[in-house]
Amino acid sequence: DDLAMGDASAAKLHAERRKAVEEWYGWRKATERKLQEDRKALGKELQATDDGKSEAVE
Amino acid sequence: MRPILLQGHTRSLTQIKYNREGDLLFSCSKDKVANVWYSHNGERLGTYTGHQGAVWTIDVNASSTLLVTGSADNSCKLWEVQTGRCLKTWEFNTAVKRVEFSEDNSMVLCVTEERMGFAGTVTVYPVNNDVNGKQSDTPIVTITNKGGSKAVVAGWTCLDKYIITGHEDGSICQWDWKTNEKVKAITPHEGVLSDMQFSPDRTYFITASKDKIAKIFDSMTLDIKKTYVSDTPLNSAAITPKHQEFVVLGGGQDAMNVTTTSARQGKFESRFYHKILEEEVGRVRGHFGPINTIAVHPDGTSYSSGGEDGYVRVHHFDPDYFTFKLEI
Repeated sequence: DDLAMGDASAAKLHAERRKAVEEWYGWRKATERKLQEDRKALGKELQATDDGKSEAVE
Repeated sequence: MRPILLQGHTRSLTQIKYNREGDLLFSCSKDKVANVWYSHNGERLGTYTGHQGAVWTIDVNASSTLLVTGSADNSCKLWEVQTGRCLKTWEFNTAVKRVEFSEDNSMVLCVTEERMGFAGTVTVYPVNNDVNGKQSDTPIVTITNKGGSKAVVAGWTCLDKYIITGHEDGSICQWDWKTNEKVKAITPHEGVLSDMQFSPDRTYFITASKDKIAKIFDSMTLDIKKTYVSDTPLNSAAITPKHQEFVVLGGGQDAMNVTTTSARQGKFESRFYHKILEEEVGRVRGHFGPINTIAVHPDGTSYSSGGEDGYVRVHHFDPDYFTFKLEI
């Protein structure tokens, strides 16, 4: 019985952890997408890290 | 790995900050000076001297050319990182407790202390990133929390849309600084705010409070996303940006409140919590007094703590740190 209880509570804990992780990354993804849109709207898009090398020539 | 001990300050540390690349670590102290160190070996590169009082706060711009400090001498100073030359002194009526460059580096905010006859403010100055250029004497805006508790910490949200202030009564306000209007206010802590650090993209931030709790907030909505409960008054909270989803908390009872028992219990440890699961995963000992300030390397490969004991300890993470995984 103890073992069964332990399994049950462990399963519950893991379910809670999975839920927390899913919610966090869901929120992060939505937030990052929104930030990217806002950057675009403000013309403040992030520059590539190889700044200067791949610069568009007008 | 043994931490690197940075011995150079003669009094307690107040704030430490890595530059964007993480090769440099800036520190300031009650000993009236700021220092810059190589973060990989702890060698001191230089000292910024000129303040007449404790230096409470420090920040460096993204290109590591300009440094800003705030002091108990009622001034904020702008320095050329490379030469240690003071480029500008902004005078205030009271001490400056917190400074931070805006995300675009074109401005700096200065949180000033409230003293009899003077309200606490968040004053924003424009910054000329040309080290030989003229710096302005005219603030862009001066925010005063009229009728409310004084601000003690502050920072900029993503795209510099808002300024977030943390207050003595545990409240947090979101300001539209362009119109000088308070957008949102909440009181999530029961004690004075001691630190506020933003995520790399500034879409969320972590607070530390003397109420022994640290929390993560959404910068836009001020929704509480996470809560970390500790057993000691907190002075600092930092977010690990890479490799692990952790937060690092530090604090400890103030010297005047320390009893032999609490000292023996060893509360002067950096505590690592899983950022998403809110569970403590480890502690790092070392300081002989409260930890006043914590900063994590922008690559997430090391972290540093500055103590009431006058030392900065730079910890490069061991290989097992990078492979650690909490069972999910």
